[in-house]
Amino acid sequence: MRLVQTMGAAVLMTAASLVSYAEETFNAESLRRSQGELLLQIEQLRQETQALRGLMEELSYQLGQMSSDQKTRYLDLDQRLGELVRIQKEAVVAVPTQGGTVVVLDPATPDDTTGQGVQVAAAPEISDQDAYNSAFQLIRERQFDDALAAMESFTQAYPDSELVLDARFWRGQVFDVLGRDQEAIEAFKGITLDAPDYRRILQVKVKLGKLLVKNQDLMNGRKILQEVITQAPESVEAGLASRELEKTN
Amino acid sequence: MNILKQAKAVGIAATLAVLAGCAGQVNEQAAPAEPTKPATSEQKASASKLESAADKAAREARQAAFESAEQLRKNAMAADTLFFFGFDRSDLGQDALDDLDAHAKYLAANRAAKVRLEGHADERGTRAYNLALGERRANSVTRYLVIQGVNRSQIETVSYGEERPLSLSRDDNGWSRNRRVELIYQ
Amino acid sequence: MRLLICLILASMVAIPTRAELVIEITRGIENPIKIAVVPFRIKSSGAFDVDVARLIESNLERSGQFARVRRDNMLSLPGPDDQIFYRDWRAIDSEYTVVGSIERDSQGLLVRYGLHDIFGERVLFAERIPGSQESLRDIGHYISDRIYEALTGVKGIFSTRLLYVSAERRSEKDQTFKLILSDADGGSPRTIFQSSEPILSPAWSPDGSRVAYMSFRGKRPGIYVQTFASGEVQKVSDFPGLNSAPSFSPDGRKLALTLSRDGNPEIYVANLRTGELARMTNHFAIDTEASWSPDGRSILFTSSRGGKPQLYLMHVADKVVKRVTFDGDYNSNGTFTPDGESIVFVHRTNDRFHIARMNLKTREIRILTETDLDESPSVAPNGTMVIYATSDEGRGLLGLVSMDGRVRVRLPSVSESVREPAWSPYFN
Repeated sequence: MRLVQTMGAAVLMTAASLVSYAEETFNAESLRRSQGELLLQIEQLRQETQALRGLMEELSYQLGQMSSDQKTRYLDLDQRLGELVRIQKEAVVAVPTQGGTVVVLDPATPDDTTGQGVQVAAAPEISDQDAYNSAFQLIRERQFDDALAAMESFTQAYPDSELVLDARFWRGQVFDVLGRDQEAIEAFKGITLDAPDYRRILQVKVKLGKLLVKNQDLMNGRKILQEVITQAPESVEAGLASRELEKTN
Repeated sequence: MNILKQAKAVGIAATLAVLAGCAGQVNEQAAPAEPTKPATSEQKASASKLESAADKAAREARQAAFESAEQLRKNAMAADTLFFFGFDRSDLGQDALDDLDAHAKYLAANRAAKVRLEGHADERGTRAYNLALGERRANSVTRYLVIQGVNRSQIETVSYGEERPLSLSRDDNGWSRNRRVELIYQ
Repeated sequence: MRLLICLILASMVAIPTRAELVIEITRGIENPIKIAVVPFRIKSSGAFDVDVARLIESNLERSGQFARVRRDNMLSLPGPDDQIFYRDWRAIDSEYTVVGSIERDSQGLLVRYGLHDIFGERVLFAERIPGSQESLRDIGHYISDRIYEALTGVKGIFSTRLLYVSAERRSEKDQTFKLILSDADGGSPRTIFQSSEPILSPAWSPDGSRVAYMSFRGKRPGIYVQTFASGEVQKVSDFPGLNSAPSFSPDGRKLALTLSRDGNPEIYVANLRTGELARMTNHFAIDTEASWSPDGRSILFTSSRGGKPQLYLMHVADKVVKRVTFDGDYNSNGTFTPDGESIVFVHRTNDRFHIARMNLKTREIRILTETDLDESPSVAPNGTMVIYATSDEGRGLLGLVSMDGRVRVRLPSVSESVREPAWSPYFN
């Protein structure tokens, strides 16, 4: 065993001398030559690195562009979807689909076996949302009289819908637009009494307060505007309310 | 146990063989022009044969020393002094190396000799950029000469960019003549 | 359609120095303002060697936003004290009319002029400017500035100056280079430095009192700063290798430049007071053509680190570098517009070199010129025009182009080949 080790050492020494020998056979000339080659190779490598760097810069730029484009597109889509959802929530009533007619607009023919008016209420295929949307669409189209009727018929057809308060709210707004102040006051007052937690209660109150003041009920008008300010002093409506209040002074 | 030790020894031997082989390879690659280089098999062979290779190297060295300075000078003066480059490139072509070697040998043997390298570019591209490009071309040549044994202090570089075209013809032919380094003995 | 108006204007009346530029308008806008500049009435004996009215109308016309009313169409040639018959001027389509006079007085000269709004039938303003025979051109430029600003709302650039390099070549190694300072219209050229070796990259100091440039003293290039008033020259650098492409920082205290003293072209910033040198880039590729942003926080430069020359922007404080140009395989020699929102640079498309402008926010690129081998863009201090170098049959000439590329003016030199223009800042 020891012999093997000694042999190993001997081989190592011989090999080492072999290597150094090989080194000696390098003459200065070939060393220079090889350095020259190396220089050219380094230069080539540098150029390749540069080209790769350039490519990487361009690709990462394009990637950045693409992902920002993507983001813009997503935000745009998200916004459009959000808009769509909002419109749906705010819409109303009545009608559409297979030749259906708004109940109020066509109150006749109750005996008709295929009475479409009744059908609106019963028809399962028209959701409260759809009905609300079409009523709301009338407001957007400024067909206020039809809209009033549609909102009214909606509240009757879907008394349990979550959208009933919205329908009542818009009825009040339409009355206001049409200058039918007393009816508007009644509509808004009804909401404040029935649904003090309605999400648009501040808007309702401001509107009601304004209408009351306008119609010489200064005391109640001021009181309700004051309520808005106390209830939500930081809200936009509080600002509106205090402006209205100032006018009454 | 025994087997293990043996394996170790074989391993060492194998490693050494590879090392020796590597040395031979480097040698070969480094000087492909010289035909009589010790091959791998020779290294495995007796030391006497290697000694004769060493003798040969020494003889070559002596020959080189005997080569007259006059011959080196003649070679250098006969060699090309214009070196051309590609558009927006500063890497030397293989074909420039023999001429540069002749200059390098002369300069290395005559430390008093001095050379000026003027880098130039064609008119395409902006002037300041071309000035830098001419500089890089001159530097490419400088680096090569230095590696071939020329002292850095023997070389002066200057770039003229596109300000001193050789050819005034505004086509690929003219432009390629203008992308150059001029080597001028001082 | 007034595109491609091709007017060759008579050369400026001033001393016909050899390197003087002559102006040709190659393209204007569609609806220029029509202005009549009546020859200024000379109220004393003896002629002047400057036709002030001609100077003013040429200046205005060169902006591309005005068209002159020809003198021979004018029905009368009123002076500043005469009554203006607005109907007569309407008849020849003049929208505005300038009348003036020059008289000698005890102090020298007095120039009076007024600008009339023909449709409004009123005098917009009138001024009296004292001066001398030597300052007549300056007065003409001043009046041009006043009129231009009154009618366009933008500060005029007629009183600014140009620096450019002229070259006369007899053979490869026998050339004469001159650094020339002239008025913005190319008038009054004077040689401020001359050499048989190349002169490159003149750059104005922000206060307009000094110029930095590359020139050879002996066989070696260096960066020098020359003060106009005294002619005094300060050496900034003459290291072995490259010394090139100087650019003053907006506060005038530092100079960005390219040196290869560490073996490779890199950007450095030299403090002009202390001489202290800071290395800004470190890459084995070419880094050169530094140009400061107007706020002094960034340096725009050309680098081939990505294989091809492209523009990069370095934040000076932390030396962080971002690539700016991605279109095309050759973008170089960038410079900022005065508002800092855009850059103007040399851009290669279809193997031709043009001047282009890029908005840094929108990244929209607009190619402004259509000649070939266009280079060295320099932006006017009011940001409306770019002066650049181009060539025609191998002869260098200067061109002006408006920022939208719609107005183009060629300024060929009378004799020598000219290049490397640099537009001065405002002097007031």
